[in-house]
Amino acid sequence: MSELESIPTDPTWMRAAGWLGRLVAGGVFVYAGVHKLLDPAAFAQDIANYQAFPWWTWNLAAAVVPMVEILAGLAVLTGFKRRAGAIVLGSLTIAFLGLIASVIFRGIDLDCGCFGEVAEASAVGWPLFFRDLGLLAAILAAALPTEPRRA
Amino acid sequence: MYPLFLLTMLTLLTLGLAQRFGQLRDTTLVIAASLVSGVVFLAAHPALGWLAEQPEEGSCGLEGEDDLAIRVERISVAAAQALLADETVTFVDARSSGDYTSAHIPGAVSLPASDAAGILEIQSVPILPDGQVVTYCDGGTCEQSEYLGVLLRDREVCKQVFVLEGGWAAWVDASAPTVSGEDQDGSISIGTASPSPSEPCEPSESPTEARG
Repeated sequence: MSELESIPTDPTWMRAAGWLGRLVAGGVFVYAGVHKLLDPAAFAQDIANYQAFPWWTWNLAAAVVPMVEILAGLAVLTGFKRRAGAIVLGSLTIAFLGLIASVIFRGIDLDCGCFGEVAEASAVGWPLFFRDLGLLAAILAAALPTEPRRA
Repeated sequence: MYPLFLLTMLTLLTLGLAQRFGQLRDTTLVIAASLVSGVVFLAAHPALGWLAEQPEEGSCGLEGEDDLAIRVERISVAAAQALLADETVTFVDARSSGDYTSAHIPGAVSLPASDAAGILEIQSVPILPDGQVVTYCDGGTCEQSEYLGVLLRDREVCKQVFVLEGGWAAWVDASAPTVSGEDQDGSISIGTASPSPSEPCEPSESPTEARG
């Protein structure tokens, strides 16, 4: 029995929170991943703008990161490999938080590229940091057990 | 080494969480499927090669940070203000032409970086051989000024290109002089009546509201 399964659950509010978390986290990441894949070259440029990665990683990251978002997001949305998807999304969001903080403290002024070039760009700053923290909370909720603990 | 360190930490974090919650196999499966899909996508995409174009080794790179793609030296508002009277310094406004007309730094040239025409006009910016360039933008959602700085690298003026730290917002916050109008020196001084065409435009000391 895993750790999460041993947590006492309330079948009402916890299941509701779990479903809400799955919808929010899964939906946001699938949406973001698809939009990035629509224009991967622009996303590669966004990655370059962060000034944190060597040039030879830009295109690979521009293809792999959206795929991670889509597959893990679908896992969370559909419930197939849900917790594994939530763990991957959680780690990715923690990495994003670190990257955002690094950009803020380095004083770089750029668009986040969070949803590719299709959606309206958000500036990298504290509002984005807190938005990602909210997303992390949704991911945690999505990882909650869906079945009540057996007595 | 920095990206490798980040990637290692991210992998360890993910696998550690997966191990703790008994999801190691499924998590590995999700990551492997994403990696394979990403590589296949990259191979199949017509406009995206395996490797991005390697940035030129220009003087825009800071020492010891060769792997950084875009890097233009910053200049503080105070230091930039001190350059206002220097005729060898060209201020370049990377914001939209509407923002420029509304208010800009006295003497600044409008070169909207988000506008294709603005990019093309970069060749026409009067930069003295030994002069310096200070680019600025909104200070909100813009990397345009830095982008312009990189474009100016092609004109071999890179060592003299600076990005105004904090952009237009910081300039206004510091109550630095601004003018409005379509001309470099402004046809209308902020807070004063329109000067007659025969009179030189004096920059206003009044701050204007930052946009963006």
